[in-house]
Order: sequence, then structure tokens, then C-alpha cells
Amino acid sequence: MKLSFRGWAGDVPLVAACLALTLFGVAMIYSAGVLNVPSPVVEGAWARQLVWLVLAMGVFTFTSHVQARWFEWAAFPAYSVAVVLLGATLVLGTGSGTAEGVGRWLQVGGIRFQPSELAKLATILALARLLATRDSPPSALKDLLAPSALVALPLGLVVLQPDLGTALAFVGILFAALFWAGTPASQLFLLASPGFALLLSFDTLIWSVYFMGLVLLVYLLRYRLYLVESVGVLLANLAAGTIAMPLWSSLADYQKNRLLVFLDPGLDPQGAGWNLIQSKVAIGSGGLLGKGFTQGTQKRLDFLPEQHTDFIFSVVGEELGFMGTTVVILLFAFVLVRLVRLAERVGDPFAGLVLFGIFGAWLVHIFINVGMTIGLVPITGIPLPFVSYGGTFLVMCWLSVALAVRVAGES
Amino acid sequence: MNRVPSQEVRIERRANFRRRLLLVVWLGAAGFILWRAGSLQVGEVEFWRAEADRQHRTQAEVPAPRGSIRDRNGLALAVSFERFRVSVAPQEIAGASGGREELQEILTEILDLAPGEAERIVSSERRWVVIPGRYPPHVREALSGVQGIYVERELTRSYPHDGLARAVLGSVVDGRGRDGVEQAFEERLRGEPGLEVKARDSRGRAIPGEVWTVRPARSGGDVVLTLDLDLQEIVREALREAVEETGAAGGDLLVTDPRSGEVLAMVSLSADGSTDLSSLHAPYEPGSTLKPFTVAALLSRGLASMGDSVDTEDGRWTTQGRTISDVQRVGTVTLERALQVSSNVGIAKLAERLSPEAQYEALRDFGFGVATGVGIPGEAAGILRRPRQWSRQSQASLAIGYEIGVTPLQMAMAYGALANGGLLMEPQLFRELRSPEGSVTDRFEPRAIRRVVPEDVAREVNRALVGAVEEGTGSRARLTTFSVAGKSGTSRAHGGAGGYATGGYYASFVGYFPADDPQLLVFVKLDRPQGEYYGGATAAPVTRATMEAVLASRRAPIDRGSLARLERRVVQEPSLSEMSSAPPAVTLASGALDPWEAGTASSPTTAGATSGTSTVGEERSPDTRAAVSVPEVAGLSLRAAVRRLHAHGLRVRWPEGGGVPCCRTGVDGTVPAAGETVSRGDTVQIRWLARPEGGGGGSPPGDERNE
Repeated sequence: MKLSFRGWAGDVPLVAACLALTLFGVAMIYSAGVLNVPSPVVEGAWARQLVWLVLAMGVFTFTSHVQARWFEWAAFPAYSVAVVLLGATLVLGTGSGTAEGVGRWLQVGGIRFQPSELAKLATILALARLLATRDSPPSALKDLLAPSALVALPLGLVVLQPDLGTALAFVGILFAALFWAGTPASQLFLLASPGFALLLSFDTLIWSVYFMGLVLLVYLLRYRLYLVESVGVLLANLAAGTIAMPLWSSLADYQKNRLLVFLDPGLDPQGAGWNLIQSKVAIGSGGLLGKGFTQGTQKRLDFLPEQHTDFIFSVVGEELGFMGTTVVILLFAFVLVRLVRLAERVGDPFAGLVLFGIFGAWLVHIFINVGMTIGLVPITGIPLPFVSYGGTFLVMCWLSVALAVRVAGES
Repeated sequence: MNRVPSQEVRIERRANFRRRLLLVVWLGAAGFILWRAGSLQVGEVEFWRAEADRQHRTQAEVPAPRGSIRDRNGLALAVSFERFRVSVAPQEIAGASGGREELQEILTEILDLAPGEAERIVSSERRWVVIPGRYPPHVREALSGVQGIYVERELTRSYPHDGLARAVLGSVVDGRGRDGVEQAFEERLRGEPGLEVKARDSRGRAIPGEVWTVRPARSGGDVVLTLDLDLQEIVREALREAVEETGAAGGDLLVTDPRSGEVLAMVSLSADGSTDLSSLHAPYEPGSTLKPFTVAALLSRGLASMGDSVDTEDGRWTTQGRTISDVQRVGTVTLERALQVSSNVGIAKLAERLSPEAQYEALRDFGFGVATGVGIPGEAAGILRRPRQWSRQSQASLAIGYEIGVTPLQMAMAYGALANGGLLMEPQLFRELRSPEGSVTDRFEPRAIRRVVPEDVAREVNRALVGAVEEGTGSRARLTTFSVAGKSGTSRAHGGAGGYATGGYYASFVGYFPADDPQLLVFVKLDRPQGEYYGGATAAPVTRATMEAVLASRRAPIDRGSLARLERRVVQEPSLSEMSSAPPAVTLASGALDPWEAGTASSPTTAGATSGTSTVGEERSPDTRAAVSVPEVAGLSLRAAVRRLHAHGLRVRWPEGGGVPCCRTGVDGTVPAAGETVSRGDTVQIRWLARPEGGGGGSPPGDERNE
């Protein structure tokens, strides 16, 4: 094997759209620092983000010249390193900035980074590698065991941090990759079914109906399931339904409140409901055309929380209005559509799986981040790709772009 | 024919299907997001806008500038003025080239900051720097539009004349008048608050500079008092000296115009120098000063005449089981003489001719036992019991001023009725109300409450009271240049437990002059003077000192034209009989009395007299138009400077539009400058430093409050 540098053959529209989003993000991070209530940390964030962008560009340029074989080769080592780092984070992790309380960062020398971001990419590669080695699509539930376990390990470590948002990104990666690998929808449903059981277990009647439906499904699929699988799925669902209450009580108060206020924001408007209400107020009051760049009152007057990181989209909505939110969503739509178009052209299963792994991760990030700012999903700490402030995240996003254009370009 | 697709094609189709499905999932999610965002930002925009405004906007009342309280000549006694707090946002000018240097220059020049401090402020890392101190309005004009500078308004109530008449003025607490005129005319002075909208942050803090005016505040109107600032100061000094000299526990001094009932000066002092409003609030037993009203009641009912004889029984007379005694033994005297020498026995004996009802009615008519309605909160009505509540001794007691509680103001008004020919006037403390723009909206006219005694009775009592000053107990109130009418009183002071205090007396004297056409009435009461305690000995000299000071003052509200006609030759002091039978000898000398206003006096008769003979008064004023040099007043307090200039016979003027000095750092100088030669009576303008309070040195003490 040899490293090969040749003329860059990336997908220009994809890179241009991502660059546009990133620069737009820097502008919005600058705006997030224009406040009537001084906050030195947020004020200087845009400049730091620019520095990170330079680094990200370097990483992107380098990586996009690396042959895809190297990624394939590096997949499992990278995955191992990421898992070790995640483990170390649980022990040595520190908080940072507005997420002071949770240990998500690892400090090496003077550099702080989030291993969970690295782990996402490493998991995408490892999963792609694992699934690409199959000569036929995974058709049996047992075929899903290995990929699920591969994802479950870093996912579990991230949940322990706790970082629910990033954990959901892992779920997105898993399902997008499995689906693209050709796993039948029914199998994917059965794989996800314990999760549904967990969610529905809060009402016994609903859960019972669901479980009856599941039993029926298993019966209908009896010819495509091993007995062990059928029993396993049903037992997993039963277990999920049973541990729901203990799991709920083991959640931290702020996590419980986030879920509760999603259902009723008025429950604690000054506390857990604050972020959701303030985000909706900011975006809603932006109207069609917004209040003008840097002019958002809710942001300026310190009503909007985390305005440069998780709630950057609220700043967009307040200052640039529905026009701004539409442009951002369309840009993201274009980026993901472009990923799918790239996958269309690739013949190599590994390349396709990498593209859809990235697709799955970004979809979860975009939908949950934007969704929480407009009240579609509960508040979970998850950044908006390219736009939110955050060094590791920006670098990893661009590393993902480099992977995408590289694997697509080579096929 | 069905063609069976090849394995590859099937895989390709399945892949296409999966790709499209994922695409649809994502586009569905994106569409869902857009739909939701649209419903928030377009459909519900009004609701969320209102919610945002509710959160970050707060409506605030803007207190209106409070109206001024002024003396009768328009001099400010209480004023509100705007001062400005200046803040700098250094980050805002960080980008502009040369912005810092420019801003630093502005700060040093306009705000008079030290260059070092200005530099520290403009180069501060902080987002917001508040410059200590408050600045006058011209600073706001000079700073308006300067990038990075914000100016906030504050309202301050100030009593410029060193707390003169503070007790009458009251104070402002939390923007509302408390006590005195501030409370009485609260509605008028307060004005209409304006409305503005301010931005506030999530913790409710107002954001400087983010203010929108919805409705401007409308200033309060001015209240013009009848008090005369100069006179008020004269009176206060006179009373302060008297309290010090006699060792009294306090005292009250009132100057009124008996013709109109206007209160020209009103001071109540305690020994510790604090002032209150005991002239209105604290009734006391007057003693002998009440006797003229007993006499007036006898005369007006035809029950006695001034010539009636009464045997004062060797100074001791027992009636209804009680012995009344006199200080002096005078034997058998006329009623007039009994009043002049203040014989308790004589007055009490003659008072028996009055029925209790008549006696009560007479005192009630003179205004005792009823609040005068002067319009200051908390005025006392005094105590005058109805005849059916009287004891057997009450009639005699009341005749000589016991068993009755009167306030100094009631007493001054009752004497005013004797002085002005029999009309009880309503005391008048307010002259007019003015709109914020300065036009007069209400004028308070003198109001006669009732005719108490016929004019000839008033004149007879008046004449007797002239005798009391000339040859009776009030001789120490005598003036060399004018005849004065007056009556002394000495009564036992109340102790703590309702009885009389041992050895404690109220010494009082009420006098007015010129006796034949009284212009000024002076009431003096000293609370428990030490040593010699008779009113004639302690309070009467204060009356005289006050009168003399009034005559010496150029701005006292007296009619010098008519005074000049009534001035008498000192060398040829008229006897009492002359005084009573003929108009007093008129000498001229308006020039002597009022050298500064010669020729402008209202009475035409004085104009010709000016050139006539000059009087030989001991206390003659300096020659007209004499040259004086302007004294040095720089560094003095405003009050001391004004006094020194007055002492040199100069008029004083405030700077144009300067309002009131914002601080007590002192007078800067005068125009013309110290040392220059001017004529007596010329006007000198005072200048003061426009330095912010608390900006440099410590905040000066003062009776100022933020409203």
C-alpha cells in the first residue's frame, strides 16, 4: 500500500455548500456574541471558530488526498482508539464553556477535544468496514448482532458521559448503514422494537397493544426468523417495558425535566422549560424577515441560552427570520441530497456505507438540533453541523466531508 | 413476456429504492422542520413578537421635573433640576480609527476629567463604564451623538438657600412631597409623569441607552410663597442670636403684613439649631399678649372705655377663691394704662363686665381655637373651651391669657386685626401658582375672614399699644424712627406632666409698625429663656432688632414711600399725647431710609421730599450712590457670598439660565470682578463652578435628595 497524492477530484457542490454553511456559522457565532449583557466567552467565540476552521481546512485538504483504502485499513484501529478515549473521558473528562457540568472533553497538553466526535467518525468507518465484508445483505436478525454491538459500545460510553444527543447520532449511523446495506425494514423494526417498547411503556394499555402487535409481527415473519430471534426480540421488548420505570428514576433530574417540559413547557418556565420557551420566542418573533443581523433582542438581552452552540439556529431564526431558516434548511437538504447522489455513483460497498453513515449522523444532528429549537423534539445537547461553535465538532464535520468526497471520488 | 431481471439489475433497483427512501425520509424531516418553522415565524409571529416584547420591554414612568417653590420675589427656595449620569461603552469605539483619542479628548474637555482617568476609561476592557458624578444639562447637549457615550437623566431636589425655611417647605421623599409646602401642593408641584419603554435583560436589569419615549413628562408648576427670602434670613439670624443670648430652649418668630395677612417670614428654632413648624403646630398659653383682645371685647361691646378707672388693689386681688397678682403696683389707673403696664388685676377685674359667652365669642372671633387655614398640613387649632366647660376662675384666667392655647400664627393674625383696623385676615402663605412655562395660573388674594371689632375700637387699642411700647412694658421694642405698637407677654411654660414647669416661662412680644399704618407685624416668642424672662425684656428686643434689620434691608417687602411719611424726628420725640391726637410728625428722608430706591418709591410725596432736610437718625444708611469696591467672595458658600455683597450695598443676580448651582463647591467669582469699583446699589452677578457633585472630592453634605 502506498500513500497517493493526486489531483483533487472531490465533489465541488458538496464542499461549496458545506463551506457556505461554515462561513455562515462563523457570522452567526459573531452575532451570538453581540450582546447587551457582556459575555466575554461568547464575544470572542467567532474568532476562535475561525482558527478552528483553518485547522479543519487543513485536515480536510490532507484527508481528501488520502486513498480510500487507507480509511478502510484505519477503520478498526481508529475505532479502538476512539473507544479507549471514550473510556478515558469517563474517568478524566472535564466540562467546558457552557457545558461546564458534564465531562465531555479530554485535555491533552493544551488541546481540548471531544472524543465522542472522533468516535462517531471512527464508528462510521468501522461499521462500513464490517458491513462491506458481507457478500449478501444482512437478512437475519442475527446478522445485525455484530454491527449493533459495534455501535452499542461507543454509544453506551457516550450515554454514560452523559451525552444523549450524541448517542442518538450513533443510532442514526447504525440504522442508516444497516438500511443501506440492504437489511429488510421488518428486521430493522424488530431491532428498534425494544426502544419503542421503552418509550411506550409509560402507559400500560398502549404498551400492551404494542406488544400484541409485535407478537403478531413475529408470527407473520416466522419463516424469516429463527426461533431464538423471535424469542429474543419478545424478551427484549418485555425487558424494555419492565426496566422503563427504574430507568426513568435513574435519570438525572435535568434529563427528566427536559422530557417533561417538552410535553408541557409551562411546567417550569423559569427552569427546565426556559430554553425551549426562549428559543421559540426568539425564532417566532423573528417573523418572515427577522430582526436584522446582530439585532436579535432576545439574544442581545440574554434571554436566549447557549446562543452560539446548541441554539445557534434560534439566532438565525430571530435575526434572519423565516427566510434565514429556510436558506439554512435548504442548504442542509442540499448537502444530504448530495451525499445520496454521491452514493448513487459509487460501486464500492464500503464507500456507500461511509456516505450513508455520515448521512445518518448528520440527519440526526440536524433534525434534533433544529427540531429542539422549534419545539419538535425534546431539548438534547447536540450541535448543528458546520454552524454551531465547537472546535472538535467542526474539524470532525470537515473530516467527514473529506471522507465523503474521497470515497465517492475514488469509486 | 416477463423478462427476469438479472441479479445485478435487481440489486441496483433495490439500492435505488433504498436510496430514494432515505432521501424521502430526510426531505420529509426537512419539510417537517420548515413547516414548523414557518408556522412559528409566519403563522404565530404576532403571538411570539408580543411574548418577546413582554419579556424584554418594560414600561416605566418618567418622573416629571418637580416644580419650584419660590419666595415672593421669585427666588428659588426649592428646585428640581436634571442632572446627568454619563457612561462610556469603550468597545463601541474600539474599531474606529482614532476613536479612542477623540473620545478621550471629549471626556477631558467636556467632563473635565483628568487625562489619565479619561484614558483609563476609554481603554477599559469593560463593556460599560459609568463615570462617577452627575453633570449639568449642557453636558448632555455637548455629548449628544458622540459614539460610545450614553447619558442618563436623574432628577434631584435641592434647597439652595441652605435650608432656609426648610420646615415650611417640607421635603420630598421617594418622589412625593412630605410635610410643608411640598406636601400641600404635591399635585401641583409633581407634574405629569411621562412614559417610556426600556429594554431589560433576562434578569430584569435595564439596558442603558435602550430607551424609547412614549409620552414626555410634563413638568410640575411653581408655587410662589409670600415668604421673603431676605426677610426670612434676617429673621432667622435675629431669632438665633436671641435664643443664644437668652439661653432659651427655642423660639418662634413670625413676620406678617397685617394689611393682607401675608406671612413674610416664619421661623421656629430649637436651641440645637434645628427648625420646625411650631408656629403652626404648637399651641401655648400666651399670657399678657392676650389682654388687648379682652380690652377690645370690652370696648366694642360698650362695656368699658379706655378712660375707665380701675383699682388694681395694691397688686393683689382675690376673686373666685384665687389671687391674681401684678408684678408692678400701680394703684388706680385707667383701662388704657392697665393694658400698657399689663396689670393682671386691672384687666381681670374689668373683664368681669363681659358675659362668659361674650368673652368666648370675642376670642373666637379673633380666630382662637380654630385653625387658621393657612394650608400647611398638620396645623393646630389651639384650645379655646366653650363657656359651659369653664370653671369659676376661667373668666379671669382667659382675660389675662391663661386657660387658652394659641399658636403663634393665630396670635399674629389676631394682632393683625388690631393693626389693620379690625379685620381678621386669613393668613396667606401662598402668593401664586405658575405653570411650568412661568405664567401665573392662580393668584391668591388677601381674604378677610370677618370684621372682629369696629375700626375705632381697633384704633383705640392700637393707640394704647403704642403707649405700651413707649411707656409701658414693651419699651425695649421702641424704634427711634417709627412709632411701634406692641404688647409683651410672659406666661408660665408647661412642664412635661401637664402642669407648669418650675421657673420656666414663655416670653413673647407682638409688635407692629409704623403704628399708624402698620406694614409689618413681628411676633416673637422665646421658649424658657434663662435669667431675665419677661417678654418685655427678652422678646421685645428681638422684635426691635428684626424691625431694624428690615428697615436696613433694601429688599424687604415694605412700602418705603408711606414709611417715609410716617417717619418721625428722633431729636424731637413725640409724647404719647401727641402721638394719639395728631398724625405723627412727618419727616422726609426716604433718601435716608432707602438710598438705593430713591425716586422709585411708590408714593409721589417722597419724590419732592428727597431733596429736603436729612434726618439725624443714628442708624442712617450710607449715602446714595457711594462708590464701593466689589468684595472678594470666591470660595465662599453661596449664602455667605450673597450676604457679604448685600452688606456692601450691592444687589445680587444669578447667572443667566444657570438655574441653581449644582453643588456647594462654592462661588467662583463675580462680574464685575472683586476689587472693581461700582456704585452702591449696582447689581453684581455671581458665578459658580459647574463641577459635578461627587465627581472629584467627596460628596458635599446637603439637604438634597434624589426624587
